[in-house]
Amino acid sequence: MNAFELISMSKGLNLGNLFDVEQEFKRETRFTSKCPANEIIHKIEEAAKPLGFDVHKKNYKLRLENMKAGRKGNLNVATEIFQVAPSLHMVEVRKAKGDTLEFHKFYKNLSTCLEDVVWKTEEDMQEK
Amino acid sequence: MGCFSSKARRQFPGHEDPVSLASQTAFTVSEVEALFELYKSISSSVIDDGLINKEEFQLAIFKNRKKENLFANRIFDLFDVKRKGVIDFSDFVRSLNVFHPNAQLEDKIDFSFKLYDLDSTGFIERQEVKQMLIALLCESEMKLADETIELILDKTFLEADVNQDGKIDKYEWNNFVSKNPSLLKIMTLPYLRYGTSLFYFIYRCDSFINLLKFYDLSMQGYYYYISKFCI
Repeated sequence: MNAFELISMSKGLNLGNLFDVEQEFKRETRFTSKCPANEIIHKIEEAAKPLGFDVHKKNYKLRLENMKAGRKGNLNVATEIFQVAPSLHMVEVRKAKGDTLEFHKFYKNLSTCLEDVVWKTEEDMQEK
Repeated sequence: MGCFSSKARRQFPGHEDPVSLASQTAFTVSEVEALFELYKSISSSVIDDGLINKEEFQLAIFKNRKKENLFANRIFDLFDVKRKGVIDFSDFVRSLNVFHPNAQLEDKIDFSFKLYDLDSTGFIERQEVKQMLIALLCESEMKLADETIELILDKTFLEADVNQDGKIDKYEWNNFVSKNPSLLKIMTLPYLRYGTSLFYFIYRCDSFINLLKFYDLSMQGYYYYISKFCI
């Protein structure tokens, strides 16, 4: 091994750290809500449609499909609502198909519209 | 995404228009805008003056503002194009441009030569390579006997120092790197090409919660932090 091969292993020469790419690209997220399930569903529908998403409902599951194709096809998002307690629901929002980064962008837009529905985000829940 | 107003120019000294920067680099306008988001976050992390100082650079690379590192110092000095002790946005973009996958190979080779030429004499001397090697070993908490270090240097200089004058000049470096292309791996950041990766960083950075994680703070810690430092 030559000296420069060793030297180039330095962390100080890894500018990738500027971008913190170790962050995992999550494909799903959750939030809790104190609103009734029907209201949550309605609010998600209301939020998703103007963003260009087609909505399919079945029981407490929603399928949101971006009518426009993205980097890896049409973004497809699955939402499911679980009742945790009589007036507490957990909402799971998961990428079913498409580009993870577009999913993140979509979720960011969605959560802005759902501000009055969301009680605690996933990060809040992880807080000790 | 992003809106460059005169506000940017007021708050960020030495700020250059993204369209101009994009035309002079391998970046698209939206990639320059995304880099601006990154730049904003780094340049405000210790002192909110729109410039990246040494501590902020160290914080960005090591997540530790006090971490001193020979190599990070060299990178900082090379990014600090105008030798002002700080990196402005223009410096930042133009320097990162060298790390773009589409940048000219000769620019990468040139940058790496300057990087290792610690005292900027125009030669990479044996003593400098020894100093860097020792710094690397120290950083990785590896221990090697001095004889072993000398052997590694001998081997390196046998291959790189063609005229055997105890130092590596630019031509010798060019040849050496052509024979050992893996040495230039550090000179390319693949995600600079993918604009959306940078946007991911923006969205992550925007989140208040991630700011807390970045500083390793709980909510209580955050309130304490802002009361102490008034951010």
